[in-house]
Amino acid sequence: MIFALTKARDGPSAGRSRTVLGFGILAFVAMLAALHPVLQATVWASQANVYHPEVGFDIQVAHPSGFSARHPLGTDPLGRDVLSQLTFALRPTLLVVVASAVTVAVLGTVAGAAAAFWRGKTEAALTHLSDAMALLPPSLAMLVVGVGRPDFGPTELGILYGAIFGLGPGAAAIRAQGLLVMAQPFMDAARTAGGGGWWIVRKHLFPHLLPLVAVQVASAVIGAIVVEGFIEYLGAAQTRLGLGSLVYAAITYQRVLRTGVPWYALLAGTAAITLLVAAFYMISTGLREAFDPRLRNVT
Amino acid sequence: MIGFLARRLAWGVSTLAIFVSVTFFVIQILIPYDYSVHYIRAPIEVRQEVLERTGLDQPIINRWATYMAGLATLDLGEAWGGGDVFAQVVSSMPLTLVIFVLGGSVAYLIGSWLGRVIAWKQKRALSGLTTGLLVFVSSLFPPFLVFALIFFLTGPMLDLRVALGLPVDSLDLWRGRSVDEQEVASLVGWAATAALIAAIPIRRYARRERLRWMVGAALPVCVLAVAAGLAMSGLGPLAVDLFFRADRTVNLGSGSPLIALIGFVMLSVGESAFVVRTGMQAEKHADYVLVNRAKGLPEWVLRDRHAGANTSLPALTRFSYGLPLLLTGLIVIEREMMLGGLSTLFFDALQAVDVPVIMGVIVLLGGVGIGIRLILDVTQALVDPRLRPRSRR
Repeated sequence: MIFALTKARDGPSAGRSRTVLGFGILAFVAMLAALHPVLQATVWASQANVYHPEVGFDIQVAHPSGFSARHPLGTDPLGRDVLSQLTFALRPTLLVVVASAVTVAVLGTVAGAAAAFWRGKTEAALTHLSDAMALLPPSLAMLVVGVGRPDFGPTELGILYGAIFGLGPGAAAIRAQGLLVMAQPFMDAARTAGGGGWWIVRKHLFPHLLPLVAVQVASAVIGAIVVEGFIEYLGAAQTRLGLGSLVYAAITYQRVLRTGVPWYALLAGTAAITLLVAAFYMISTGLREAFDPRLRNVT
Repeated sequence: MIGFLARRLAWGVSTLAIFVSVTFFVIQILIPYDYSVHYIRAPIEVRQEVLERTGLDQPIINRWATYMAGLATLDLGEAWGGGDVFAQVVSSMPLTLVIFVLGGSVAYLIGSWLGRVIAWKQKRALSGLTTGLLVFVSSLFPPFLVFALIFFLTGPMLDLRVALGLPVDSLDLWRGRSVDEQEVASLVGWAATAALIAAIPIRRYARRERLRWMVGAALPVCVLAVAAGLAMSGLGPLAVDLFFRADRTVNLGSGSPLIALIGFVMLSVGESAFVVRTGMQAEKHADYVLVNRAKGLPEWVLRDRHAGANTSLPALTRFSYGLPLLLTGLIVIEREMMLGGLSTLFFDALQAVDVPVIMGVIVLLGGVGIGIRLILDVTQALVDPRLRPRSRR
């Protein structure tokens, strides 16, 4: 899928390499998240009380500590292993990414393609709805609901974010591209050949919208990652340890305990969020350049 | 043109109505909060009274109808915690708006220049490096960004305060004054807007008369004139202090709108650079660029005046779509900086689940969003002959 997307056109190599780099970072982060249960079952198995991501404590080291063989990413002011916390805390963020990406892709494509294909009242209604939804920042809505409903997990919040983005700016962009595709001569040919509505949408419209859907999905999840981090940072998500709570603990407990800034713990959480956001930035801008014929280097 | 304006306005009103309705139902259904739990120990009559006062005893459809009817008269209802929502939201706006408009403009100016340059440069390594840096800066997690800015900028900022002749502690300057920060902030906001508006016709006149020096000097002179006016009114030190505030009662360095401004510019500069860059890349290979290059026009004139001018409006429109997200970022920054303004109102309301205030803030953001879009639509129709309504033909 990745290579099909990036090699589909003879686009500029800068856009393509940026996309591949973005996917590379994503794969690295996903691998980090998958590392936690493996480490827990093998290397850390005999010292569960030291390497527990939430309540672990190492009595042999003064906290916060920096790099050592025992703690490759150091420990935070409360004495917890940062590597264990980081690999564990990636889960809610990755869940938000998946939930919001799937929702944006499904709702954005359906609403955008429907508005482009069934013109007239359907288009007018859907366009109006997407104009209105575009006014509601999905990040703000996710923040409000995330703080107001502590029982909502990352999946629910991701779906909420994806629904607002998908029906709003996502559908608007996909509809615009869909209108261009619908004006192509091959659409008339498909109709003349006797193609039904759903068949044309499925066989001719969707494949042409796929690259743009990928761009929209990649740019949509950026906000979801940051807001999920911020909800965790606020401590609103009472029961879950996330990247945001890593940053919160590092900033807050150094003030309370006067330990000095625990840069390892602080930078681990921040770097993970920044890396994920940067990866999606690169994927979205890279794909946009790879698929937009106007952006190719014509020499 | 009047027909076009009326159509756009009707579109704006109906879009706003749909937006408010969707927001209303999303919040009320997803956060079914019973505000009377605050009075859990009070007698049942008191709880009943609270339910009636907040309207929570009514079916949701009735509450929606009441809310929409109120909105038509700019009445955003009563806060559950007491007080008029519209007045609360408006009074907390000035500082946020000043940082938003000032920071957004600075970010767009820097970002659009960077976007033009990296799209135009032939050297891949340099433009790749700049793009990477921009991606990194705009991807920073806002709470960390604020922490790092306070950590590294507090010392230099305090030195700068002393160099500017301000007392080390802001409280000394504000004690005993009859004006408060929000008033000075709104004054600075209006003054800056006035300077911008005054500069536009002067620049247009200078362009028409081909007075190059006047084109460049118009904006700085207008800004300086406004600054001189502020200084003469005796509010100069207060206006400067507003941006360099160092309040020792809170964490040192927190509370400085200047640091918040820097943080906001850092978060938004990438977005504007990317939208301009995308537009420029499409424009770069246009025929007129080739023709003008063959005629010997300097590259920077081609880049900034010709291709840049053609991409500026679409880029500005796309940038405006990202503004609500950036405003959310600004509210987060403001909270972290303990700046007050809209963020205090919003996060206090979130903590207390005061739904009318939360709705008020979101509706206001929506209103601002639709206002910006209407202005851009009309500007585009005025500037671009292809989009101009054809009634006068």
